[in-house]
Formats: sequence, C-alpha cells, structure tokens
Amino acid sequence: MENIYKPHLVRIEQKKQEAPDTYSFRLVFVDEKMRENFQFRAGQFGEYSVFGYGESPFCIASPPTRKGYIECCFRAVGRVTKALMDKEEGDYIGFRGPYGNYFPIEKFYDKNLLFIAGGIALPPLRSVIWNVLDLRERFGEVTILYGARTVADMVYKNELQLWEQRPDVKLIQTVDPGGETPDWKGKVGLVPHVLKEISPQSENTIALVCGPPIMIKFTFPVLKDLGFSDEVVYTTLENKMKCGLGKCGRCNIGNIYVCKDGPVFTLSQINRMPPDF
Amino acid sequence: MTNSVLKKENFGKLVDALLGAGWRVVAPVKEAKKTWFREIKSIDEMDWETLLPTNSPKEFLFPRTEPILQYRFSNNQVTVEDVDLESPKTAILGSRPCDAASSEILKSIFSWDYQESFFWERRNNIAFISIACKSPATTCFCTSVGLSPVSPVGSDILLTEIEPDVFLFEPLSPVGEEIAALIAQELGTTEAAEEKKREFTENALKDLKSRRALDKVKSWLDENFENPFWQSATEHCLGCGICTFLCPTCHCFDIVDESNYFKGERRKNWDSCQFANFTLHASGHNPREMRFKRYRQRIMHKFKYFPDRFDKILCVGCGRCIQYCPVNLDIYEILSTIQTMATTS
Repeated sequence: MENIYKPHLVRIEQKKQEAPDTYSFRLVFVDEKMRENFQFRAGQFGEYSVFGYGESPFCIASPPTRKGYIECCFRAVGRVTKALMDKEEGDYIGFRGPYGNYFPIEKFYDKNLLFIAGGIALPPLRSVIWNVLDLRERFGEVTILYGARTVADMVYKNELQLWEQRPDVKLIQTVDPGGETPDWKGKVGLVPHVLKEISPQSENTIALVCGPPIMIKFTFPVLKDLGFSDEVVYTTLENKMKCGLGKCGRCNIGNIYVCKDGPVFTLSQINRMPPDF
Repeated sequence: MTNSVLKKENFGKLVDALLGAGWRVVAPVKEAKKTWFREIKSIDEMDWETLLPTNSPKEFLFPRTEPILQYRFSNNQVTVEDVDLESPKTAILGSRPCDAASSEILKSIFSWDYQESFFWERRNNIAFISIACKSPATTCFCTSVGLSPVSPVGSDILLTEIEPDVFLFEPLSPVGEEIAALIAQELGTTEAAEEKKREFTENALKDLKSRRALDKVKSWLDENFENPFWQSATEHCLGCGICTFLCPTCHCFDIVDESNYFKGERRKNWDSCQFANFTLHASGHNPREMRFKRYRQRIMHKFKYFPDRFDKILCVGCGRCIQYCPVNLDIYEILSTIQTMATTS
C-alpha cells in the first residue's frame, strides 16, 4: 500500500521576495514523470515541507494552465515557514498534493469575474486569475480589487503592473489608511469601503473573495448590497491542517473537513456551517 | 450457533499455540497498580480480574507515536525513504466487545478516500479474541451506543463464560477459524449453548439496565451548537486531554519532524482536540480558544459529525474517559442530560 504521507522532492527554481517576510517559490519536480504528469486545479493546495522542520499547507499559487512547475507564496511566521524562507534557489524541499476541491472554472465561462483579495491572500486567487487570463476569450469582464495594509505588503507587485497595463483587466489597488507612500497612485481605504465606492455590477458576475477573516466578514455584506447572491460568492477557508487527507481531524467545521470538502466554498455553503471558525 | 467451549485452565494452551504459530500475544497485565494491554509470553501474566485495561488496544493499530518516513542529508541533498513498518501478527486476548468494536469505527476514518497504509497493515494483522463482560462497571454504557457486553462487532473470536471457568468459544471470522484450528484439540462441547449464552447476556445486561438509550442526542446536537449548556456543563474541565488519549475511538494526530544534522524522521503522534494549540492558526486566530468550545467539539465529533459523515457513533461506551477524568467530567451524564433536554423540549 502506498505511503500517503510521502512527499515528492521539488527543487526551488526561483525564489523571490514579494513583501517583508513574504516569499514566492517556483518549484520543479525532481522526478521527470511527475513533472510531466502532475495535474491540479486552481484553488487546490499542497503540503510543503522542509525536512527536519515539518510541513505547512498553502495553496498552489500558479495556474494549472502553466505546465512544468508549481508556485507557492508564504509569509515566514512559524517554524516551517521560517525554514522555508532560508532555502535558496537550487535547494530541495518536499511537496505532496494536490489536495482539496477547487474553483469550478467551467461554471464561470461567459460570466464577469470580480476578484477581491487582501494581503497575503492574493496567491490563491492569482492561480484563478492567470487561469482565466490564459483562456481570456471564455470569460466576460475581469475586475480585480486588491488591498494590503501598506504598499510594501502588496505581493506579486510585477504582476499587478502587468494586469494594470492590460486593457482586458480592470485592476483597483488600495492600501489601508496610513499605509500609502508619497508616490502611491492607488486608492487609500479598506477593501470593503473601496468595494462600495467602485460598486461593480452584480449581473452575470461571480465574486471570488480571499483575505483575512476581518476583511471577508465586512466584504460579504457589501456584496449582498450590490446584489450578489450567496451562490455566486466564492471564498476559501484556511484552517490549521496537518495531513490534508481527511484523517488528522483538526480542520473540521461541523461535519465539513476543510481539507477535503474545501478549501473553496460558496457563501451559501459557509452560511450553513456552525460558527466554529 | 457453535457449541465449542474452552476451559479457563486451557487458556494457557491457547496462548502457547498462538506463540507457536508466530503470533504476538497481547493481554491485560497488571503493572504499577493498574492494568494495561501488554505483550505476554505466558498466560500467567494475564490479569483476569480487571474489566478494562487503562489503555485501549488502539495503540496496537495506531501507536501513540510512529515514524512515517525517514530522510538523510548529505552535500545539500536530501534522500527520502519509507520506513519499515513493524506489524507482527498480533492476537489481543481479553479485549472487551467495546474495544473490538472501536477498531471497526477507526476503519472508516483510515479508509475513506485515502487508504492509510500504517493503520491497515496493522489492522490486517490483528485478531481480537474478546471476552464478553460478565459484570460491567458503573462507568460502562455500551448499550446506550448500540453495543452490548456480548456484542460480536470487530471480534475474531468471542469467549463467553457460560459456566464458571467454561467459555463458549465462537470464531467470528476466517482469522478466528484459523486460530480455532490451532487449539481444536483443547475445545470441548456443551449442551444448550444458546440458552446458556442468553442467560449470561441477561445477567450482564442487568447491570446496564439503568443506562438510557441516547437516541435523541443527535437531533438535539443538530440544533444546539450554540447553547449555554456547553459552558455550564464543562466549566470544570481542565483541558488535560486524558479522555482523548484513553479513548479507543479518538484518532486525531499531529505530524512532526525530528532530526539531527545527518538524518531525521517525520512522525505521526497522537494529538488531542482538548488542547488550545490543536486549532491555532499561524495568524494567531484560534477557532476554539475557549475550553468549552473544545469540549463541545469532542461531543459533537463523536455524536453528530462522525455519524453524519460515516453513519457510526464515534464512541463505544467503554467509560474510560469517565473513570480517569481528574475532575469527574462524565460524558454519560452529559449525554443523558442532553437526552432529557431533547425529550422534554
């Protein structure tokens, strides 16, 4: 029987600092077959490990439309993520996955998409965004609202520029009051406030929201006021996880295993869960 | 029904036959004033008196700590290898029907979607030779969760003491038959086995008569995630986690790395939902920071979430958590109160 906890070795092909304490890696499977055959969907996650330190779950931040590698983005806050931060290009780490469910991209065909992300929670939506942009003609209008505490805290700054330059993407960037720099051209204000201000249309539109719990909490009512029904608002839940396989028993919310039934949920699914997250 | 019997004086031959056929034999053994499931080499080591050992046989299926992979470092390279899983053929002699049933419940979690090799390789090598309970303890409530002192669930052989020192010998699985063949010569026969077993069962159930059915508990839990009862019923809980460690069905675990400069292991360790850091996020947010929320999770998991998901109650009524709780937090009392609230509301 296969050892379900055994990770694949991946090599760090590219390491980038995205924000203070926040890094992104491009990872390539050492095993050639894995490199060719590895498949996943936007929204799925994996367990990334530094041998000798342990494992941490994060999303796969690259889109499934880009083959041959996967990317992740993390903030160094604990034992494993600090050890990850110390790894350099050419070093080896472990990866097992993909785990969990995903954003049902096919259901979004011909719809307008509104992405709302806060801080370090852009990476899971970045996977969807590039997936959508790589198949651009299948989708309607694409609007991205991204907010962070400060200008420095924004991740994937280069890509934000790329999206800003594209005529087929509407990007709105904002930082919390006090987080702006003298040359900041974006908005200043919390994500829910800016969302209200720009009031995107809800007709034929799917909203995908990822951010800290406090941002999500205040964003949902604004979306409701704008006319988004709970079935078309998607988000991801991030609970503490160890196995990622529905065994270790810590990520549950009621009878839902976030690692198996999630991490992607619609707001109407979340409304049915007990308030235990 | 079989009419084979094994006399108490011949249990030694059963142990010897098992050892001779290459089995490891585990049985209740007295040690440091308590009784534990331990490996034995002779029937003389077995404690016949104690109803339930302190530890559950869970640790032979799912050890409290075990390596799940190993790795070596050299020249900035890492080599990852599987570990050799030690899983000798193990006969658990003197397990009780509740403990044997727990292994069936654990199967659900270790086989849904992903098959967990560590559990399965052990489970496939374990035989439960259970002894039916003649006089259940005051902490027992197996009948409240659908089991009984003579329940066959999970056992490979069930032994029932139908006459003093004479045990009805019922093989219940192919492995049970295999073991029966090892000691075929020692097995006698009895008349009216069925009637004697019925009598045994009736006597055993007498002690459990006061234990109520808990059939309304789930419907109350379905509606009462938020209820002041949770706080008032559990405020004396210390959060020590002993209930989860001794529970034969609790299965939550942690995964940690232990290493030195040259090599290391990744290990799977028992964990407990009663600890605050069990659900602590990297951000500092904790969904179950308060103790009553963690106790609620334990009850909900056992009597609502797990049944919702796997159609089984995650409890066998062994009562270890009642017996060993340092502040006498009694899960049966809590469930019983819930049953009352459910029937009166």
